[in-house]
Amino acid sequence: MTLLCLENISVEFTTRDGCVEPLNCIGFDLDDGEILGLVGETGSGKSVTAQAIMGLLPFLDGRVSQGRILFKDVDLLSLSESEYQQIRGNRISLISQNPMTSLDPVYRVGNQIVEGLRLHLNISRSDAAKRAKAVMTSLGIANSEKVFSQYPHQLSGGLKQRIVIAMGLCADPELLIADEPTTALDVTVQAQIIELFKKTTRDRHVGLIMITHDLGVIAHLCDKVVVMYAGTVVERGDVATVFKNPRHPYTLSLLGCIPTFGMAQKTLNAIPGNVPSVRTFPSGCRYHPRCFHAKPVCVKHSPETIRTSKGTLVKCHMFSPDWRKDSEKVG
Amino acid sequence: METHQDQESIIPPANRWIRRVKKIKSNKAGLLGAFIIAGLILVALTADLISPYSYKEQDLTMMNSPPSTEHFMGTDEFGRDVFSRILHGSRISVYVGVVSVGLSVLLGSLLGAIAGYYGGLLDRGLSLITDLTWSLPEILVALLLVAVVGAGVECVIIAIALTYWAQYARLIRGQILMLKNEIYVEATRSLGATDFTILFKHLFPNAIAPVIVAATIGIGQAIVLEATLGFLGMGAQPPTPSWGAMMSNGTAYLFISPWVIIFPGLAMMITVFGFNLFGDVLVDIMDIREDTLK
Amino acid sequence: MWQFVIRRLLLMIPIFFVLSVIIFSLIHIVPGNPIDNLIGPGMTKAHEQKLIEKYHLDKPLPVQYAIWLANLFKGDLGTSIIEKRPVTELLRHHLPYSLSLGLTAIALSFVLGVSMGILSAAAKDTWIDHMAMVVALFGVTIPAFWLGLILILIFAVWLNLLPVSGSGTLVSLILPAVTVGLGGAGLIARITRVSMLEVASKDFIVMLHAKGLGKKAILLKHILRNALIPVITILGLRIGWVLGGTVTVEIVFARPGLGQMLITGLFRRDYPVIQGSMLLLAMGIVLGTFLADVLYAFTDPRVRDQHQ
Repeated sequence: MTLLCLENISVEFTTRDGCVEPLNCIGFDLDDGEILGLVGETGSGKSVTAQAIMGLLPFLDGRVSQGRILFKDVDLLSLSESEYQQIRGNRISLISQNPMTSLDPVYRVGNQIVEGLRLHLNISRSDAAKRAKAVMTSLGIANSEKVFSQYPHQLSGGLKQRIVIAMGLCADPELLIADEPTTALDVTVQAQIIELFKKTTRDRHVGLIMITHDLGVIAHLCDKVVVMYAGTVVERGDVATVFKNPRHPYTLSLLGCIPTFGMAQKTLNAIPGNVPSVRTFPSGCRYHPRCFHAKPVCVKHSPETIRTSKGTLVKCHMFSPDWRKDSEKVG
Repeated sequence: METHQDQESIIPPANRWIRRVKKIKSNKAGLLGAFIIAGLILVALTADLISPYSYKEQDLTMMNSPPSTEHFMGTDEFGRDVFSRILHGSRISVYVGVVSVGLSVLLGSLLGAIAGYYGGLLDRGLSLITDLTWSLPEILVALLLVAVVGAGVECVIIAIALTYWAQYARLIRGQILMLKNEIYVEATRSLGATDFTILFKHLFPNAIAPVIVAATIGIGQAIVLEATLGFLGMGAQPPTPSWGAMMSNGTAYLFISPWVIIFPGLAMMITVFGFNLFGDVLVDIMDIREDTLK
Repeated sequence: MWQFVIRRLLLMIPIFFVLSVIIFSLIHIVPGNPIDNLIGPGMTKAHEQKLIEKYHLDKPLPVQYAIWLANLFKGDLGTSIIEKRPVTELLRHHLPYSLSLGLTAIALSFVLGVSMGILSAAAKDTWIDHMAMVVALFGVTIPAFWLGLILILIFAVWLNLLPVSGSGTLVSLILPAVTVGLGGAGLIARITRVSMLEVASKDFIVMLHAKGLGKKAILLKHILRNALIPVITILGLRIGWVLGGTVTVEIVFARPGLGQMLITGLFRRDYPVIQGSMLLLAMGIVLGTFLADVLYAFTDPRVRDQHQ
């Protein structure tokens, strides 16, 4: 059954210097218990996507300007703030990017987990504490009894991250969104945490959206992948197919960027140029300034999303029937 | 914020000031503050010309008369025109406010700069005295000092200057502490600059912005302190009109002629409000972090 | 933690000495001699000499200070030259009036100031915010004595609701406490607002929304708790500033507190009275600062750890 479905979502932020649109018509879907990887460079709109699903945009001066977000066939955007509060942290949880700054510095971490639990589950303080400690232990926190009554500044980055994950998991959500949950951690800890995610989502049959720029993590963990570039989804499909048959030039370059251990590569492939900033998104296909195949049509028109023969979806002019006719190249 | 300050220091000083003036123009509260201050100074300068009556002319047939077309702020217990006395009283306020704050900024920034730059035991000693002076209520310190130096305008100025310096010393010290480890100071020193040059030519101009803001607001506070001392009978001596003394005399007639107290108080409130508005805007246009001013 | 409290308490000893030296030496530079006020027409030179000796006015300043300090530790602050009563007795008489006024005023400024700050921050950039901040700015800028007079005029004279002055009843405390409290409330409201807005922009606030917390819970439980830390610090630093208002306000309301005792003493050049009341006022402020420091350390777990 479809757990979450994003249809043509665009997001606007009002800033001091006018409006920006960090997400333009994106869409993807996810089934119960499935793991979806959201990949892209910094600034591609991954975190904004997470904020949009969580309904956090109003608190950040942003809004969804078009589209629908269906969660179990309910359009989240039609909910009132108090209805949304019933869902946030309860049926959909967010694990934030930066554990260092996502805990309240003046409350004990245990109480911060309990606070969320008691908000959504009708249980006593002591039951909530028991449950929080159990989740902490299952996340590999050895002395959860002690950590429970410590303050955020007394914990290491790894421990804080585990606390943030515990906060996300303890209310037994149906969907978990993890926004680069391992960036702040040591490589060894990263691997542990990823394993943990795999185990907990499989055990509890939780849907997971894993936001990362690490393709290795995606290959290892996810069922589906969504590749984002400059606020658009350029390619999506199941991981095995996309990784075996990447179609979009950007996906190709991304896969080319993974250094393979043991292979003596002469050069490490890097994509020339940078991700454009949200104020200067290019016209037409937003990838065209960095694309080797770009033609005039790429500058003028935004490409349609096309289903490939392998069943993946790709947003690129190269796969439209008209491509061959237009033979002139740009640059 | 740090990058912000970096950008700020790249802009040549002249342009920086032009930009700041432009910023004031676009801020309504700041403009209002600037107008109030300008108006006050203008009134103080031209009090003799614009006041309808002399400030000391007594009219015993018109004692304690309420506001009317003739005396639109009424008259006091000697039949003197309250409005004219308020206009003249602004002179003492402006004079005491500006001179006392000027002196305290001078004293405070000198001591603060020395403490911040040299550090060590000197800093500790100076800081203890500064913090103590700062934590005591200014009215207590000023009262004590007025008791020492005596009543009268000049004595009040000295007392206020000796009360307020601590605030500026703290500010400058904090700024110098922050600035003295910057690379450009190291560079200047390696070029053979003396402590004096570094401190007064390089550090001081960069540290002075928050002091200017604090001093602007401080002038307003000094005017209130002067009035308070005047109210307690320790300010300017009669017949010189000062707002504080006017209100002090008025207390005895509070039930008969409240206008003698209401109007000078309003004048003072508007004045202080003006300095505060202007100061708040300066915080904004000079890109000062608000917490440096606490 | 207790180590910090004890260390902070010990720091009050040098502060006390510095204060006592400052107060003592400043007063003795005051020109004019209290004995002059006592000498009547029928008084002989011998009488005058006796008085001078009695108050040690013939000895050098350091000796006078030493005598004063030694007596201080015995609980003897000297005898009022004019009123001929022990200063400690006078202080005991006047202190309750100042203490009740000061404490009520601080409580009032805190409650009023924090509520105004919360209101302002919650309704940022609306007319409520602007109104509250204008009121706060007036609170900061209005001289306490003038506000006192105006309040008397409105509530005692025109509306005839409250007593003009006096000191015995609880009702008589209302106007003076409001007068002093408004100034402090203005200061606290401004700090609370800035501090709350800063906390509100932190990352963890978004995460609290993500947890499903309502706006009110976030504002009152998380933002406020974090924002109060700097408010307490500044309240501690400026406690004297808030209490300074009591001195003039006591005069306005004819409240026989320490402020009035001090001002009367100043006018009469009654050294022991000035020293005694000044020292007690100053120590009250130092104590207030100390309490705020300890409270600060207790509210912020990060600071608490630093002191461990």
